[in-house]
Formats: sequence, C-alpha cells, structure tokens
Amino acid sequence: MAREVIQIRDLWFSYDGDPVLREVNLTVKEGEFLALIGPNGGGKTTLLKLMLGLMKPDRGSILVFGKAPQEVAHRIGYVPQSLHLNRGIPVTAFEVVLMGRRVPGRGRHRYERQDQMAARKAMERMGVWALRDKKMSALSGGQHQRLLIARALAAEPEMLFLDEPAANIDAKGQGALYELLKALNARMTILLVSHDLMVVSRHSHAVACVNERLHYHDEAEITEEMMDIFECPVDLIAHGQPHRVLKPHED
Amino acid sequence: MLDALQIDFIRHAFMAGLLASLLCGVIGTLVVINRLVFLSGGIAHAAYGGIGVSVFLGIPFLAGTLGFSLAAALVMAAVTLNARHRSDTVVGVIWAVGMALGIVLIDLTPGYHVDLMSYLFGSILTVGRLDLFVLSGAGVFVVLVVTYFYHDLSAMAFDEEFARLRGVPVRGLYFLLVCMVAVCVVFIIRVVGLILVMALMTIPPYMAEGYARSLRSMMVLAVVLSALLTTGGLCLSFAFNLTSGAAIILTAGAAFFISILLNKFLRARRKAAG
Repeated sequence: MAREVIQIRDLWFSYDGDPVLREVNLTVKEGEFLALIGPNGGGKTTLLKLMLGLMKPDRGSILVFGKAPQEVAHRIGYVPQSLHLNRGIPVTAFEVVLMGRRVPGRGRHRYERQDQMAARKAMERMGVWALRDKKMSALSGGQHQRLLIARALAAEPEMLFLDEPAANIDAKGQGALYELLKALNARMTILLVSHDLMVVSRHSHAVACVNERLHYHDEAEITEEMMDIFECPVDLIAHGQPHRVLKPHED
Repeated sequence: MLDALQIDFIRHAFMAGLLASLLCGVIGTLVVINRLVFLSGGIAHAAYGGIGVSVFLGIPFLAGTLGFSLAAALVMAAVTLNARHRSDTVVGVIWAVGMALGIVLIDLTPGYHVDLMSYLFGSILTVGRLDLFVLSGAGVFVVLVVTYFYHDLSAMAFDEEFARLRGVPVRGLYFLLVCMVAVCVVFIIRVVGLILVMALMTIPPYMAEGYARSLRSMMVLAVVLSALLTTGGLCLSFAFNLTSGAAIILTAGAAFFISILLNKFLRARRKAAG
C-alpha cells in the first residue's frame, strides 16, 4: 500500500468572499501521476498554491507528507506558470536554476560546489545546459519553461507540481516533455495542471477535475460529465486518442 | 579644475556626489527591478513631513526626518506587501499627506522658514565633513546588507513565490528593502535634494539594466554610471555657474535619452545585419 503524500479534507477557499474552492477532498498516493484539469478560473492553480502553503484555506485541512504544507514545501519541486515572473531582472539561466538549491533555515545563503553540480545536472537533464550564461530575458518561452523545470529538479524534490508546463512549448517539445515527466514519475509523485488532454489520457494515472468542487477519477479517462457539468476544456479531437466515457459520479 | 579641488566645499561636493552614487546605484537597482520607483518617490516626498515635525517639535532634522520617513515607509510596506501591484493609490495618499503635513507644521511654527527649494534640489555645495561621514556610514551599511542577502534578494525579485518555498524570508526582506530606501533617501535629500535622489535611483540603474547579466553587475554599472554623471554634472555646474542639483539631473537625463536612442539604433542595426 503506497503512502498517502497528500491528504485534503473538506477544503474551502475564497478570494474576497467569492468561493473558489468548496468541499474539496483529495488523496494522492506516493508515485501517482495526477492531472488536474478544469476551466480557467476553476481553482486549479489556487489548489496547487494551497498545497504548497503559499495560501491558507478558509476551512478544512491539508496535509503534505503528513505535515502542514509550509513545513514541507521545500521538498516539493514547483514549476509555476512562467507568465507571472519578473522577466525584467538581469539574471542568467544558471543563476535561476541555482535558486532551486536554496535550503530553508540557513541564515546567510551561498551556493556551494555541490549546488552548482546539482544545478548543472538538472540543466543537462532538461537539455538547457548550453543556455547557462544567457540572460533570462533573452530566452524564448519554451526555453524559459524548461529552465523553470530544471530549477524545480535542482532541489531534488520528492514530488513535482507543474502548472501548465506545456503552455509555451511546441508539439515536438511537448512530446519530449511528457516522456521526461513519465521517466521522472518513476522516482517522484507528479501533479500536473493542464488543459491538454493528450497528456491526461496518455501519461497520468488519475484525473481530478477542478471547478470549485473537485471530482477525482482514478482512471485517466475523460468523461462526458467532465465536459458537460464541469465545463472542462476538452479537446475532443484529442489527437486520435480514444476516449471512453465513464459512468456518472455517484453523488 | 584642479585648483578648484583645493577648495573644501568643492571637494566635499564631489565626494558627496560619489557617495550618493554608491547608495543610489545599489539601492536604486533593487528599486528598479522590484518596481518600487513610485513607492520610493512616495517615501522621498513624505520625508518633507519629517522636516515639518522636526521644526515644529524643535528636534534635530536628521532624527525627525529619519523617524518620520521610516514610519511612512513601514506603513507603505505593510499596505503594499500583499497587493504589490495595486498599491499605488495608498502610496500616492501618503506621499501627498506627508508633504502637506510638513508645510502646515512649518506654517504653525512662528518665525521659522524652511526653503522648499533646498529640500527639492538640495545644496550639495554646503555639504560638511559630518555629512560625508554619515553618507559613508550609510554606504557601508547598505553594501554589507545587500552582500549578505544578495542571493535571496535576487531570488525574491525574480520569483517571489518560489523564493518563499525555498525559505527566503520574503516579508522580512521586503520590509528591510523599503527601510533601506527610506534611510538612503533621507541621508541623500540632506545633501542633494529629493529630485536628485529620484533621478539617481532610477536613471543609472535603468541604463545599466540593458547591459548587465546579473544583479551584481547591474549594481556596479549603475554606481559607475551614477558617479560619472554626478561628477560630470558638477563640473558643468562649476564651469557655467549653474545650480548643481539641476545640472546633475539634466546631465543624467541627457544620458538617459541618449542611451535609449543608442539602444534603438543598435537593435535596428543588429536586425539589419540579420
């Protein structure tokens, strides 16, 4: 029986009184590859941030590795949506990946040789080592995205959260990205926010559809209900992937 | 020119310009990349309230202004902490209220007149030995703090949420940064005036940003540029008998526009070269 790495019980969250998430329950087991899908504004990113302890729920409890999220967030590799970052700041690609090596609880921070080695390894894995001396602002969206994944991997995390990682990557790059995630999944639990159902049907073990409420499917199938009730942005062509319709939720 | 350097007040003016450049280059870089220019302007203007408080209560200028500016800075930091991008209204209010308070308090103090112009443009030619010591102290303090927190400041500016996850004390650093801006502004206003502070905090870092590959090189380049511009401006002001603060600002402003045009030109040429 795999360990439960995330346990969410009756979680509620609102921005300025407008509910974003309600009655969310979710259990994620170690080694799982869970895709979070749902419409824009449905609360997917909010849910990730709550699990990282970046925001506090109004009600309910979240346990990550059995502890409060703030205490263990540094064990999670987080790949945010890149459009929210401060691209203006002068910083090289290597410096950004090194940021993943910071360890909480140390006063003054310096990067040691082993940090540089880990950053290099992560960049080689993502195929971006050649970009190390380039300025972040000079890079393309796809390169940027790969560097953010490298930054998350540099921390040698036990779990990986990715928020729309394929948004700026072309079709060929996406294929490579998902192959890489699959390989990483052998070593770590992966949570992926996506609206690309190809990845959902091909690689993930389970799908959670988030639109204020959360519905969990432990098989990676797209149901009619996801499309109708939760208005998930399903691309029905799905690149020739077959999609089965599961029976409705029983609640 | 070398003869002029024999004269104390002229030598002091050049040294004040260089020390102000050090402070503004380092802090200004952090201000520019963290998009805190408006907030810094707010602190600089609200500092006038501190001058009013000092005059009214009869306490030393430096203590009154420093205390008032730090208080205004802390309020602004607290308000802007969680809504970094929607904070301009509150900053604008504190900006205006601080200045108005300063003027009213000076009105209420009988027989006292503070020249608003010297607050706006400073009086770099009256800088004394003590001012230079204070500026040097502030310079050493700021360089030490920024060196100590360098990687954390860089991580915070690039991606605040990720920095928090890696244990960077983002809130504390933000307050520290805003307080350093306040201290810097107060010490430099005494010497070169509030308008020159804002010019030196924004123009050299902005010019440096395009050429720098790291925060560190941006700071160094900003300090060097700032030193060149203040020295050049002072030379012009002595040569043509101009108000020194304004001459420095115009020199910096001219360099700013030239650098923008130059960048445009270089980019166009690179494009044409394919």
